[in-house]
Amino acid sequence: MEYIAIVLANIVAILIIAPIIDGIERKIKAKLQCRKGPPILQTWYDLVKLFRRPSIVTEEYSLAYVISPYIIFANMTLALALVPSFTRISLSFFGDIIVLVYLIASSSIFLAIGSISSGNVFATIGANREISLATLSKLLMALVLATFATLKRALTLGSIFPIIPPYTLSAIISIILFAIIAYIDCYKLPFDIPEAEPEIIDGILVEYSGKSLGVLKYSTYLKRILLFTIIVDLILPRNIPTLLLPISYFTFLLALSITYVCVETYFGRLRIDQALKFMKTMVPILLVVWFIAYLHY
Amino acid sequence: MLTSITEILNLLKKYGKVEKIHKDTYVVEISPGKVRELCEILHWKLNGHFSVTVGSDERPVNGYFGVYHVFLLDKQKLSVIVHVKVNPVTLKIPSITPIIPGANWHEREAHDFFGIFFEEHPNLERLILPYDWPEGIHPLRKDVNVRELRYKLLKKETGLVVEKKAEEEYIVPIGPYHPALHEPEYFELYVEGEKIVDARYKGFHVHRGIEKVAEERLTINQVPFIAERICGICGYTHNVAYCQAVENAARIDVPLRAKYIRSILLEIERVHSHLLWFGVLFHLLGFDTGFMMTWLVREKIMDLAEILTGNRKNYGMNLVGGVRRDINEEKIKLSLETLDYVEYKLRKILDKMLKLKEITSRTKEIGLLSREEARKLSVVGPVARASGISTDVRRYHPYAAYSELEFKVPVYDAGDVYSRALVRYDEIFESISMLKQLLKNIPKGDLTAENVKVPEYRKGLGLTEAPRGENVHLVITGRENKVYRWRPRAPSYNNVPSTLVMLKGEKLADAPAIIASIDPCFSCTDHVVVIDVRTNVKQVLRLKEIARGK
Amino acid sequence: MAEYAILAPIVLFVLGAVISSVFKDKLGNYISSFFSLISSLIICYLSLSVLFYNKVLELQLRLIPEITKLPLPINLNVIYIKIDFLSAFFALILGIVGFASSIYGISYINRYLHKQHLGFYGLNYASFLCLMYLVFIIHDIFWFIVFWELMTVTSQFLVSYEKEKIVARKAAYKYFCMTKAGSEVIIVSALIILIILSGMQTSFDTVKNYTEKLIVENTILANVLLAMLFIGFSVKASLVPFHTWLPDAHPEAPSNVSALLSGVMIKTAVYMFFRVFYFFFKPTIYWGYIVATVGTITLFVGTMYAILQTDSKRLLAFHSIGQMGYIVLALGASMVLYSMGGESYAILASAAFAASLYHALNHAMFKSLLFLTAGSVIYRTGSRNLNVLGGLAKFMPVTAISALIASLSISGIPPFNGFVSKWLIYSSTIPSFTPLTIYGVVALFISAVTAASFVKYFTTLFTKPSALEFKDIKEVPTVMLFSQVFLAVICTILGIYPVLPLTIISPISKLLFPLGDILSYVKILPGIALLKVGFVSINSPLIIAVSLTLISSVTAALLPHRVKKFSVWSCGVSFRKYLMNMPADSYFKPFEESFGEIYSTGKFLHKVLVEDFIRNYLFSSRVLAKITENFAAMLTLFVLIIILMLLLHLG
Repeated sequence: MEYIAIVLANIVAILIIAPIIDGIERKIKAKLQCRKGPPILQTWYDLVKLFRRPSIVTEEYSLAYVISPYIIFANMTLALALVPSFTRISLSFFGDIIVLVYLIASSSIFLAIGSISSGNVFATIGANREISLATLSKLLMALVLATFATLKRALTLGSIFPIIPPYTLSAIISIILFAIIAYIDCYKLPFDIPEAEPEIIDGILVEYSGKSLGVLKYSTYLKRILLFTIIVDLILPRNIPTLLLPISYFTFLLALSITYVCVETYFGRLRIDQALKFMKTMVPILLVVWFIAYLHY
Repeated sequence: MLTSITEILNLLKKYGKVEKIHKDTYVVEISPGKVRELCEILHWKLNGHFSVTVGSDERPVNGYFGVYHVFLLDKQKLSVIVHVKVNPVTLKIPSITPIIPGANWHEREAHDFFGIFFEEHPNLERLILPYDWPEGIHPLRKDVNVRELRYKLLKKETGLVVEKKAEEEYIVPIGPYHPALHEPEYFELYVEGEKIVDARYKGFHVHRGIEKVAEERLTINQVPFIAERICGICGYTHNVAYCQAVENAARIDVPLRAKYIRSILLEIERVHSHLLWFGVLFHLLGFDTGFMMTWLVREKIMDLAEILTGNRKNYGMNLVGGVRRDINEEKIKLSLETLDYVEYKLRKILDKMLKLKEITSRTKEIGLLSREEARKLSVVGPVARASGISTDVRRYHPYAAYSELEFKVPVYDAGDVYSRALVRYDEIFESISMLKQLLKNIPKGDLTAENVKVPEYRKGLGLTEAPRGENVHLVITGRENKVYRWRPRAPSYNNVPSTLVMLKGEKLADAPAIIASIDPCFSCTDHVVVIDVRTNVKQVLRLKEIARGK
Repeated sequence: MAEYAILAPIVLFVLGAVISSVFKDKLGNYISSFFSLISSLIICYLSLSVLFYNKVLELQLRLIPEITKLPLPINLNVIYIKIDFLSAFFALILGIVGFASSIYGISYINRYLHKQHLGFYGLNYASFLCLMYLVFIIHDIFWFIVFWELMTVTSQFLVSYEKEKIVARKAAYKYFCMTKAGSEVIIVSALIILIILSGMQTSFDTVKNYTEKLIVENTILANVLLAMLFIGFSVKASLVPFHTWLPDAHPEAPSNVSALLSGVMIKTAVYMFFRVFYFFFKPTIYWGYIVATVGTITLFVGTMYAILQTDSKRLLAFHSIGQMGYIVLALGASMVLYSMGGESYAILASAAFAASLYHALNHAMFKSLLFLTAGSVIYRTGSRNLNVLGGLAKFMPVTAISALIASLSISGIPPFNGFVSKWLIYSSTIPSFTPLTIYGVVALFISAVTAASFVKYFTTLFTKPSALEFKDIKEVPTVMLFSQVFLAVICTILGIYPVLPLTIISPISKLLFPLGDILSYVKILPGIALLKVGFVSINSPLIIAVSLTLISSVTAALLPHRVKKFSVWSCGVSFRKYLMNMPADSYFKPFEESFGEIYSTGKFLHKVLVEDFIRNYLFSSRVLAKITENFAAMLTLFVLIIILMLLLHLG
């Protein structure tokens, strides 16, 4: 029982900080753009406001449109329960890194199905872009996983995290590459393609409103935190004392998010074909890294 | 190739009666049968360009309707107005659209407002009037009855044309309310995958009937203020163009100091307009940092405008015959300092941003408009200059104080979005240098001309180079200190049709940037409606829908 | 006498086939469907009893009881029938899919009423099922080939059932020619085995003794035989490059037959792969890599082409190729890992082996379900064109949910069955520290592509606004709904409770893996975990399913969904449903364009390998036909004379 309580507390903590991290990102972004920026809790205010509002559905909607935000949210929460974050204790004995990848992928699938079901053409275009990106990013993710698995000869989170005790070339490069893939998966700016606001009016989110929109936005923040957490877990040494763990985790998280937002500020949006091309060029690099790992370097 | 003015005048005399209305501007009155021949010579052979077609109801004056095709001959620094008298019974004259496709909208507008039929026009459908507008009522005619109009309007409503489902394409609406557009316009994109196969445009959602108001209600000296409100960004250039048209018609000599002040404000307007455009472009490409940075610098320019005129926008500086307020030494000093700062900042920011890979990869080779297409559609301003056409009213038809300035006209050949950006980039710095020259050399003198008297029924052509291209106002003065006919033609009116050419074959994601690349100013252009690219599918916007905002 | 229960389904099938062929209208269909569904249930019972009680059923049947030996080199009088674990497993697949599709057919086939001869369908349907059953249970090379050929014949009749359609006839012809060509190779290899090795003894068990030795004694011959058998069965399994018949043939058959074709018939080849590679011969590392490579290429090509399709059943047919790739990849991987030796590889080998069988079972379930849902759409709208269909979820909610479950299953989305088998494939290949890792990576990527194409399939059929106006569309009749829901439930159960299928697979792998079967390597509850020193990988579908439902329903309950309806936002112009609507053609265009080189290579290869080859082949066959016309007649005469002589001799 105690165990479950810890896991639950952990999840709740992440649920609380996820929008705050986004708030910090917004603030930093604003500062970098010579703006004042909203308060750090603004994301929370926005969410609460959205949760209070009724949703407007389209006349063409079907069930998938209504339920998919909740399924996406569930996917993200479960995925967060699997990875160690503030504490080492997590549900990681219920799934491995493939399960994790699939939970992330399934959220994109449901997002696409849900938004296409709204009947809006912009949502359909956005969903198409989302799926195209998610599919290729899964290839990249699989290649990184292959490197991890080759380094550690296993797929469980317990054995993959942290990846670095063998300070090999491939381990270090693979972490950097994973960070790039995570950046793409976060839909940070040059890859902000499915939700391109001036092009397709927020794409996948165009027909979502009120609670559904709130839940979807929340899931997006959770997805970011999830990917950050995986990166942190890959780096964070195992011998950190338990008491220091939450602090070091949070520091790393913050550092990552700040780095990402700083990078984001200096980019414009890519076109979908350019983004796919970029991701395709990563494939041979990842293959080489895997091969280096295969050769025990 | 005819070069000298006399040769051209001789040529024109062969076609009809030539009258010089003011400096470098001639009106040729010819019979309808010869219109096409002359227009072809003026546009294609003499390398001039078609600028505007103005319809006019002149029955109270001479018993005819008039149609004026305005051509600007850049090389010869001439403006030629081809005047055709239209029989008020048959109302038919030959269309020039088959020769100059750019005249399409102009003729349709004349058809809407005056009921003049242009024979052999490819698509003489309504442009501005909504489709449930009653037949036979032409609002700019002098004898139109508003009460009757209202009665008929409510009664009649034409149905929508049946749609056909295209096989593989689908429609993506951009507008009337779309984050990429800052004004209500409707682009209908036919898309396959993410590739735009075809595009249609519906505009004129915000036609405000400014012309009618000016002709019916306002006096000559009130019009400058409404002219300034034609556009939300570059209003002052309309103001100047109108004033110049009237001044030209009345042969008023504007004092040099007033001319300098006009030029200063026009250039300030250009700088802030171009900076606004850069901000919008960066925003559309997702590069919000660039958007914020450029607009931060733009604020300085807006402050400058406020210092000089008292307003950030709608300066309210002009009167027919001069300007209303003066600029003192202190302001000049402050302006020069601001300009130095702005120039330094902009060099730093824009140089970097235009080299960013995301920006170049999404603007180079995108939204191509070849020189031929540009000539056909008679595009103006930066769009034309980016397609290799050297045209600039300031250089070739100098007005205000431009004849005394040194400046370059940037021309690029690529015809893509990037070269349009480069043209504007160069122009910003040219404008800053011009501003410095103007501020340093501003002469002492009066602000307005004395004895401003406007004779009846005189024609005047006012040209300015607005930030978006050449801006043409044709004014026919009326009795009792009123305007008989005023036709402002904003640059976007000529440029918007070119987006449809640019959009074809491009990716959907690039559409906003392409549309923005001509820097469309819809409220300038607007009066209202359809370009049909394909004849089988028609969608029509009804007045009621507009009213409901649907 | 329990052994004779094996024959009960055969008898019922034959009865059904014969009786139904008499009737021209509904009755023909009803009788055949009824008999088929009863015997499918019996098959299920038989195979389950074999698998659960670990008891192999065997039967030696004499066609003419009095005679012990015919004066022929081959003892044709005796038929060896044996349901061992492998046979039972595949027979179970047949049983379940046969049951569902027979029930479905009761209603569905009536749409052909007055247009086609329903008795002809009944005859072919029942005999097709019967022959598939026989193929799975027969343990005799000679009779296997006979039934194999007959199965092809009956199924091609079903493919060209709508005989007025030229497309259907062409597809059936192509299918028949290609599979026939494949089976020629099989026949030749069978002859080699019979003549050179086994001394005309036809029973699988006897042959096995010879072939097992062969791999050591005469490697060249063994490899030649393996190659021939692999190529021969590849055609039926539609492995690349022999896959071209499938996307043409499967969509043309009535939908419940498509379900059988994709769900079961192509599995006969998989069944034979297992027999050949694990039973007759022992796996070698080279053959493992060959099989795995072919599997990977197949899954890549099949799915990458599936994503282009805009015809609902054709899309599914391409996915059949893709999913066969997964099955074969897992088989190949298990062969490689099996031959590597050592305990750590043995775990992965048995996992891959289990994955292969598990995925075969799963594929049968979700693919037949998908074909049934596509059939339901055809039943109500008469269209397979994804470009114009849409918005059917409102009219056919149950069908839509079943299709969603099947789509999620085939895409491998967590709580459903596809995920577990795919997970087994990844977790046996990716951490294996062999080149198989990259195969696993490709499989993982293709799984995402599969998901993408099923987003297209599901949304264009059910949720996106349609390009046509549909009126008066109802949910399909109850019998059709029943079989859809039945399969959907099975998909879910197989997904969240993987113990069940793994228990069924366990007896098969127990025989083959001396170091222990899949069950001895995995910890089952609450998740399946492949054990090594620590863990290799873990997955707990049950927990995932429970927590997903729990979290989503709790969130939904905490944030009650008050809704208002409003028309679709279309930038302020009136929403034009039929025009502002992305057709299936336009889906994933940028993605497809970014893989343009693959498609252009495919086009080139298709031209070189298939079109030119067929042109040459047709030319030469025309010449040959002239020569063999008379020869064939002579051969028939010759055979008749022999039979007559035999009869005389007996008499």
